[in-house]
Amino acid sequence: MSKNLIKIKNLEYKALNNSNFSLKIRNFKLNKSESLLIYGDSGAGKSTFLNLISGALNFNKGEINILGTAVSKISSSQKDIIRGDHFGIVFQTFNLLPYLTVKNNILLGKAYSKKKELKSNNEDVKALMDKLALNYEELIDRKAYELSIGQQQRVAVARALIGKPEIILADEPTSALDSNSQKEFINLLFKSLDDNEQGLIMVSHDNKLSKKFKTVKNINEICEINND
Amino acid sequence: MIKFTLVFQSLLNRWLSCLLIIITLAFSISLFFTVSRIQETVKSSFQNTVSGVDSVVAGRGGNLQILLNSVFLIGEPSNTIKWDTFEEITSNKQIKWAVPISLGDSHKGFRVISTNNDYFKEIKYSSGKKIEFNSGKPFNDVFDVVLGSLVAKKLKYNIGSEIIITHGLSEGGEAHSFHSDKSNGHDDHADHDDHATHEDHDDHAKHEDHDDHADHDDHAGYNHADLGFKVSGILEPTGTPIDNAVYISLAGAEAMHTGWIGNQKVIDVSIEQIMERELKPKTISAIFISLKNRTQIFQFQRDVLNYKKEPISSVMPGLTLSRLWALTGNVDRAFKFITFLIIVIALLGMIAMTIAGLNSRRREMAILRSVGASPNNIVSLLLVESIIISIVSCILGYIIMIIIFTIGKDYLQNNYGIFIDSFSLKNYDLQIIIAIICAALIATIVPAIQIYKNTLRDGLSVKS
Repeated sequence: MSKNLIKIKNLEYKALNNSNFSLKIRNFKLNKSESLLIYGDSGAGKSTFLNLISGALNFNKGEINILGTAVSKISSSQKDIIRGDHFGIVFQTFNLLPYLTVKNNILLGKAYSKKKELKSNNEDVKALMDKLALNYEELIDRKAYELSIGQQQRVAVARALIGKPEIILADEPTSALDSNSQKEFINLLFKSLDDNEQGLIMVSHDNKLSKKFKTVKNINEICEINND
Repeated sequence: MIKFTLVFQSLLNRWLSCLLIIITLAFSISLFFTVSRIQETVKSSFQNTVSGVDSVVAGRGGNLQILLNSVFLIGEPSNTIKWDTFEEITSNKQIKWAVPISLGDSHKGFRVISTNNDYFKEIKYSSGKKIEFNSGKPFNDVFDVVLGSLVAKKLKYNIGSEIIITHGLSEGGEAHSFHSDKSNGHDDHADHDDHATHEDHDDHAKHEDHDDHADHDDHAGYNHADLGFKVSGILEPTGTPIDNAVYISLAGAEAMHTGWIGNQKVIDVSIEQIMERELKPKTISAIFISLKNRTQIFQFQRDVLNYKKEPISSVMPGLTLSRLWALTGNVDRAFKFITFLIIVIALLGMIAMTIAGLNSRRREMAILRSVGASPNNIVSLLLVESIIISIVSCILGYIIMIIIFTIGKDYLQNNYGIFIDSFSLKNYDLQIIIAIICAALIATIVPAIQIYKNTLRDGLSVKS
């Protein structure tokens, strides 16, 4: 298998709604075990970039290649399958379904995947929770709304990592955390990535957390944004 | 499993709005079930009341009035016919059997049918079932009375209980009873059995002081005398108006009207004096007739219409019932339409709840999209929620219907003669349930389209 997890070439995207937002990417690659921090101002297109990579938004021209599959040549439902099988995604905040328990929120990460096989639900969930410093016994049956913001973000990471997806996308996951919690969160995230050759793309509005990342880029270095 | 948990927990998370929708839907569904069940029961009760009766002959009047009054014991008694007419008509060779009945009296609100023992032998219900005695036997004495099952049950009468018959149809009517010159009363006359069938009693002139049954339709009610009738038999339940009636012999009816003119008691007569008389009715209300050959019914109808001695009518129960259904069909449809509208309103409430909740659920949808759920997956979650809500509503609606009938069973029986004897699901109910689930799915299409568009537009962006 190629060492490229993601390859983008000559991609053009125009927003479906009435805005004039458009985005172009000439060339982009993410390799195995690569961690990329993309920073930039709010509204600069960071989230749109992640949406395009994950197949949640359709582009107009060019090509995105995910693990050797040309995304432009597959249907929307196949894109959804690829996202379920090969991606783990963490949002800014409110990552969890508040009415589900911690366990079910984590297992939701493989609910729509046929590829993400687990040895045992409980064992895999426990292992991930241990790595992310979440007390399994205490939290496993708690509803998500009962957790602190920091705990919620770590549970969201556990959901993204369950089933060992090849690509992790994180959309400003630390923005709601204070600076100590941000460092702790990033440390735990990298600790749980270490042995799986996973690729990580994290977008953030600042680059204070850049030390841990192999590559750090401004969004403008990757995309040409037109927002007139 | 996690997907099921997801749907279930999502519904639980919105339990209050879901509960309100379920309650609204359940009550409208139970209303539909209840109305349908009552309509169906009334219809089958009507259809089952008489079986094997080809014609009902009565004094000239509207077919429907004759049928309702003589068969279903509803409304005002029709015009009477003379006993001579009964004898003349029953001499017709086309007739297999003929049962005379006389109406106009009541007992504690239950109608009294004066007839002979042929009634219990020949009249059938529910496509040929015989009227059976639960206990006791038919009339063996002038003052014997047979009770429909419901009358005996409601009034807690047993064999041997004495009852007073009231003149007229109101509960406040005056009692027909008698005093005796002897202490042992009418028991001495046990051999006076059903004089109505004694065709040799032809001296009607003697009974001029007797009241005419044509006058029985007096609702004010009047008292007659001191002693009552004795219960000789109690019928098995039939689920028809038969259960709601009190049966006495024609001779008994004649006896209790002795000394009366119209609504007035003019002579105080003892039982002994009554028994010395010929207890043959002067008039009756109707005759139930079965023909030897049913194809002759139209010929028989013509014969009745051409009868010269008094104006009489012949009513074919089946045909008249069909006309009745045609008449009531629009009311039926109107009822069903109203209950259907109520269900539609409840479903619109469900759509409103779903659409109102869509915006607050956009974050939920984005999370599901991030783990690989397609827009179709998300729409199907919405549809499954609708199915669950509609199934739970149907089950709850059905339970509410059972509760309504369990509580109101006696009231319906006692006041309207409606016998709800089974709560089991019928094909019709299942069709309604399937229709409601389909309607709920169709009702979800609008919010489903909305959510589909949202998920495509939002992608993985979490909207608050």
